[in-house]
Amino acid sequence: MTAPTLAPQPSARQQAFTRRTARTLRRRRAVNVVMVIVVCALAVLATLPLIVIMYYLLKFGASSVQWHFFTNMPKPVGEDGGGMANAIIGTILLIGVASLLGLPVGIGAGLYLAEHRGKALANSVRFLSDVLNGLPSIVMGIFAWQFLVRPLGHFSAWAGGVALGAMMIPMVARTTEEMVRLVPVSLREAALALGYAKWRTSLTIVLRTASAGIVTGALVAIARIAGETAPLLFTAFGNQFWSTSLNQPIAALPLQIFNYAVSPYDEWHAQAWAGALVLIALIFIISLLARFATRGRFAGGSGD
Amino acid sequence: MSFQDASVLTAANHLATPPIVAQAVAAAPTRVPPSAGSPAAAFQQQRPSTPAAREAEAADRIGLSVHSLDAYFGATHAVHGVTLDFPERLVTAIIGPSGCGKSTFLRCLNRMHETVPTARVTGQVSLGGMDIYRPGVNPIEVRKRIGMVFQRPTPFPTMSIRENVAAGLRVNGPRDGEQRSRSDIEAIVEKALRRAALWEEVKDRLHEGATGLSGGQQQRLCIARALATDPAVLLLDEPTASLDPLSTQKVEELVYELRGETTVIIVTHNMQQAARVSDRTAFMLAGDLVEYTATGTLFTNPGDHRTEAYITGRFG
Repeated sequence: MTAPTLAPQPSARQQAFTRRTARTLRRRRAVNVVMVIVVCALAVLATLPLIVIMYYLLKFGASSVQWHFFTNMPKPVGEDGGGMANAIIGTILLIGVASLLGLPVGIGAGLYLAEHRGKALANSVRFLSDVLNGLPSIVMGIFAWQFLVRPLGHFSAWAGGVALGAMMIPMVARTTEEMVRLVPVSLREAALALGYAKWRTSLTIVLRTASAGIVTGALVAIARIAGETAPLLFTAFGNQFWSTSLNQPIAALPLQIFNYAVSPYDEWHAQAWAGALVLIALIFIISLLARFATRGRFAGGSGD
Repeated sequence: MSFQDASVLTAANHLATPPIVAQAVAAAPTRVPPSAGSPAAAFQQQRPSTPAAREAEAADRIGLSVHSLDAYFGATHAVHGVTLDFPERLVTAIIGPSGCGKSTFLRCLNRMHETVPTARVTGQVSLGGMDIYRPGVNPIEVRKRIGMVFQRPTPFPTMSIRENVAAGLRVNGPRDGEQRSRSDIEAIVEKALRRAALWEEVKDRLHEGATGLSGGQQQRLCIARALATDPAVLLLDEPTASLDPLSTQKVEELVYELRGETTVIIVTHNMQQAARVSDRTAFMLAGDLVEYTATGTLFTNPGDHRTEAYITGRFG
């Protein structure tokens, strides 16, 4: 900008150059504007399903979400005040059983994958857990049915929890591995140099440093399995009655929603909408917890 | 031979002292000891006055003895048959150009080298007459006796300042017949922080996270953490390489004050630093120990032409 005023008179070549660059600049600006609009539109589109779902859930389900929905048992068609208390407690119990299996195994496996990188066993475990991660959830249900329901002769909360827990394992393992790999080698060396044994370094320094990320990964995995229906169809099976026995078939929100949604009754449809709304709210709360968990104990620090 | 020797100071000037470091030492605006007028003066006055006495002491009291030590990374031969004795409770500096094997050598002294895959060590390192590489010796026990501080500060981010200092105590149980109560631990933490010249700065925030400290404070915290278990030997691997001149000065003063209490071995890129803090200096080049003698001698009257070339800045 200052150069032309200082120069005596731009030559013909300089003028041509200026014209050319001005043209290029205009074109680039135009392309930029178009691409920003396109990308923004796609970003909005990505969240559109959630927005639409929330809209319908609130429209059809909000009116049925009342106090008795959480405290009452399902009632026959025609009776007012039915709820899903059994399904809510069932889902919580199933999540508990799944976490009992999925979290220790997943975190342990992830720690192994991160600490023994490059070993043949680690590589094959990583590959297999990626395959497991992509496995259709109904296949997990078949697995639990084959190994728990058939030998025991009845559906049970255990079987449903195991199916969900098996789904959690690869998710938790992979996020744990990623988080543990983020812990700098210098931190491990510092612990080793203090006279920490390798296992103690892994457990008290590495896992603790990575814990915020691991908790986040665990909560995301829980949020994902909380809404699973397919693995529960022939494991937990569902239950119309109040049951907290892990040896008996147990109700679960997704199953209840499914059963009510395919029924021919309008009131049950409304209950299904309400159940879906409660389920989404549950997952939303878990996701929020996951976000807060990343803040760690010393939030004022360097933010790692 | 001592720090205030005119000859050493001239030599140090020869070495093209980076002006900023020189200024920091001269200005020394913080940590004024109440007794002395200028901290720089205090820094020098504490020096034992008879170099010959110190030499004699160095000769008959060995802190750590290294015999024909070789270190490898896979097929790379990083340290070639180094033999030397580190004097007890004095400061020894190891200098040399980047990649000369000085850090690798240092990491062999507390068996940290072998934690790297494919790394291998042969030779002997004796602490109090016992070879730490003898079969059956547990490297974890070795590392409890020989502390180490690294180039970059490594506070444990999930622990408070107090927990960081006490971290080593968890694996170093009380010595025989000693009971360690909560107040004992508090006392050990305070003592370590005082020795690391950090107590005054952190005493009101011991329960806050260690990552909130500045880089220099973090490094002194790491030194406090290493000192808390009262190691026989303290290894410092370029402890000031990532610090600003003021923090560097604090760490140097602290290293200086450890003399008489702990055997200190410090690897440094900075020749002025070696001249300032150490009693003896070893010069390494391409995996070989070229020269090892009293610091004053090495910097004023080097016995090897390669040492002379290095300290006068002709290479490295």
